[in-house]
Amino acid sequence: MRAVYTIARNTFREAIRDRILYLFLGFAVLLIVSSKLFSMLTVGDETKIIKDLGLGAIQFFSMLISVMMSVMLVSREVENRTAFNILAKPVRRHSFILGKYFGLLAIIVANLLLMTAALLVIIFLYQGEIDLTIFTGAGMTFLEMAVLCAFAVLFAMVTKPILGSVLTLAVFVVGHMTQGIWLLTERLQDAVTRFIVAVVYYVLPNLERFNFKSELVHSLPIPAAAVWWAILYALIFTALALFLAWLKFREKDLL
Amino acid sequence: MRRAVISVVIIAVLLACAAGVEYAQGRIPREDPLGLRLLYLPTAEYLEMLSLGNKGFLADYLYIWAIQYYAQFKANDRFLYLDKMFNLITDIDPLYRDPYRIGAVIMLMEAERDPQSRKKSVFKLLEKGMAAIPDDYALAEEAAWKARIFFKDDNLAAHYAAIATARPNAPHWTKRFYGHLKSGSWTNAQSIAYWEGVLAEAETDYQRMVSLNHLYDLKVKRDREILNPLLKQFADRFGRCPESWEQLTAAGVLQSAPLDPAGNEYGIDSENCEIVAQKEIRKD
Amino acid sequence: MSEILLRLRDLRKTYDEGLFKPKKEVLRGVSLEVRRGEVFGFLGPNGAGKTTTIKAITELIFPDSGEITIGGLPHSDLEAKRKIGFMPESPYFYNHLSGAEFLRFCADLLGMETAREEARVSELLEQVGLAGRGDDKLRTYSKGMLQRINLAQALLNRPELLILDEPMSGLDPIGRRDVRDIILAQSEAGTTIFFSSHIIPDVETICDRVAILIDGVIKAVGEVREIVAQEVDLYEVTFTGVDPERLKTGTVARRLGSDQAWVRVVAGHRDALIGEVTAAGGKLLSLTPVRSTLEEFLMRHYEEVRR
Repeated sequence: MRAVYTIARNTFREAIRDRILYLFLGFAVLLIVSSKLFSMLTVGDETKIIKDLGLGAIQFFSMLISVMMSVMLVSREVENRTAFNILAKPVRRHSFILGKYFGLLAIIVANLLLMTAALLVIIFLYQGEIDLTIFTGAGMTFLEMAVLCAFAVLFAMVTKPILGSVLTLAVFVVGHMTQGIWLLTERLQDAVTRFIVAVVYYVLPNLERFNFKSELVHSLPIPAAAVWWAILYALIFTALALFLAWLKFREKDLL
Repeated sequence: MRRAVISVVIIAVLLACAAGVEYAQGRIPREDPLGLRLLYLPTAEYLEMLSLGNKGFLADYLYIWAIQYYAQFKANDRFLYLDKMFNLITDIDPLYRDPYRIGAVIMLMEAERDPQSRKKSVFKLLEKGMAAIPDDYALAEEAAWKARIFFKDDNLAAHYAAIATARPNAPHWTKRFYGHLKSGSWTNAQSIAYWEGVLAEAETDYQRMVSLNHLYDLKVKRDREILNPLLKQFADRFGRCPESWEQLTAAGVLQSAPLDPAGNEYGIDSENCEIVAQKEIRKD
Repeated sequence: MSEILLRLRDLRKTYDEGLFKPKKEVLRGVSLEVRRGEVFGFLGPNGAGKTTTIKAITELIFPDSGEITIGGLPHSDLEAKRKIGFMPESPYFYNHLSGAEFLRFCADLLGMETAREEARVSELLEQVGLAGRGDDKLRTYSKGMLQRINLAQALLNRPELLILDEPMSGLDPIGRRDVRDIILAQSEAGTTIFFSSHIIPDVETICDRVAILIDGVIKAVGEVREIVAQEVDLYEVTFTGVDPERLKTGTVARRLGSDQAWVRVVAGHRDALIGEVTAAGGKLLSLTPVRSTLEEFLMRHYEEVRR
């Protein structure tokens, strides 16, 4: 356990000391702030646009951070052999994976908090009140990123850095489109295609399950069951991806 | 130092050239005046998928694009794809209220050219919104207003106002509006019955006052219909209009002086042989 | 007879080079035993499999078959790993950390009590000659400094078995002397040392025993002088008039200078050489007996393999 914490803390520290992160954060905050521009162009409800854009930006930049940081923090370590230092010591390979994963997650959380705070401030300037529902949106994005980071770790163990980050990005894109494709194919007659789509739909994480933006922006109630199921869903896929990562890593020769 | 200056100059020159070329390209007329590119937008489901979980923002973006586009463009047939555009936006985010509202407004700008089809479009869009947001009164009320003001169709307006009043968050004002719209088709008794209900639902002093005012007018009208004939009767019998209620009670026409809804005696206008009502209402 | 601290039994490892390339057999049955307290050298040319063997011991790679035990325990046991201090060949470090932070990180991984860490880290920095540079970021360190930190992290937990892969590489002569001194000091203190190198003089002077790995197999193991003593003496012969490349007699080494030729032959070939040179009309200039060194020994083995 201590090993996991040590590795996680070191991973977190490495990311903080890398200036790329500040660039992302800067862009994210800039985007959130410039939502004001959009709101000036519209006729009608301005807050809706700020919330839509803000939540979308938080999701997008969290995704970018997951994809980029996983390359830096995980792939690089395995490729550059700094992992030697850790694995020659009395540290199990699963501790390495968990440590890397939680370090990555800690970065996501830190960024999420900062971006959410920025959005809250902007909304406050417009509505004059702190909109606590934004935290739900941030929480859901966190779950989505938890799943994505797990896949990022898996790909880092299995393939080269650049390919790994492309695959992680692909999981993000497909994860959001899979529900739509599944619904569209319901009308198809071709059983083979439907079967293939069904397999993809159930095997890959349906990231739309973490999307409550519509409810949040239109102030609709979110059923508690949906939230609990979403948490369970995230846990299952995270466990699955990390388990696969461990299976691959425990037999990998570090050359 | 010199090298730095030269570098800056080279960069500035290149950027200026790029800006110039961009400007020149911009002046080549290539905008499709009819907005034909709108034809090639995929349907809502595909766009939603492409938005990767941000359909709300996509709707916002398309909406802002649409209102800027329609606000600026001068071509005559720009409204060709207006319906399609706003249908798309409202398909993507059905709960977003502004596109219904503003879409209807933009469509109304075309009302003179082809009133019938425009009318259909406007109300089709607003009804779509009313169906998509069942708990909200605002779009129904908008529809009622537009029917009355632009199309001078009080029946249609009343139809929408009724829908509006049925919505859970309908303000008192909406109920009053409906009452006004129906005043042409209801009997006075029906109106009075309705407005009693409106008064009962009043929550603020202002609402009560306004409702009472109108009820007063309605009841006065009712009383007028009863009392004015009586005055005429008296005039026929006695050859002249009565000047006070005592004359009528003395003649056995009435038991006592009639009171207006506020509890004051009516006045009598002997020249025209009509009752006169006070307009002031005591705040009870 | 002291206890066996490290035992390798019949290690085999084959690498898959890719879809169309032939498999590469790197370790072909490596066995050896290292006794507690000795300084054991591991020699061999590049590509012999030294680093692969060491990575197998530290469980960075997994051999196809064979057994590795440390202090009697299987090498995958956490207790076994705790006995080891490992210094990899090239330092791969986190550039974002300072020297001291890195050592503290390693100490955490070793399960050291946080209270003791600070003192131990300072002690080690002192020991490897980096006192005062502990707070500089690793990315500012020179290659020599990185190698010192590398050594420091291997010594953190006062290991029973110190495994060093090419510890002198990248160091200037002073650095190499320092590392050698540290190794000897550790040995004095009772640490068992297992290190691989291709710098023969270092191995000769420091090690008690040596194993020679060529082409994935141990060719010889034993005390240096034993190994060398197995070989016969050599003679150095200089002469003129005959091209040393054309000699039929086998030589260990040969050189053609501007005015004379020089060869080295094993004692058994001495007479044959003299006879050949004389018969070819050459003139002998000198004949000197030479004690064989480990280097010679190795050269011979390398040549045998190549032949």
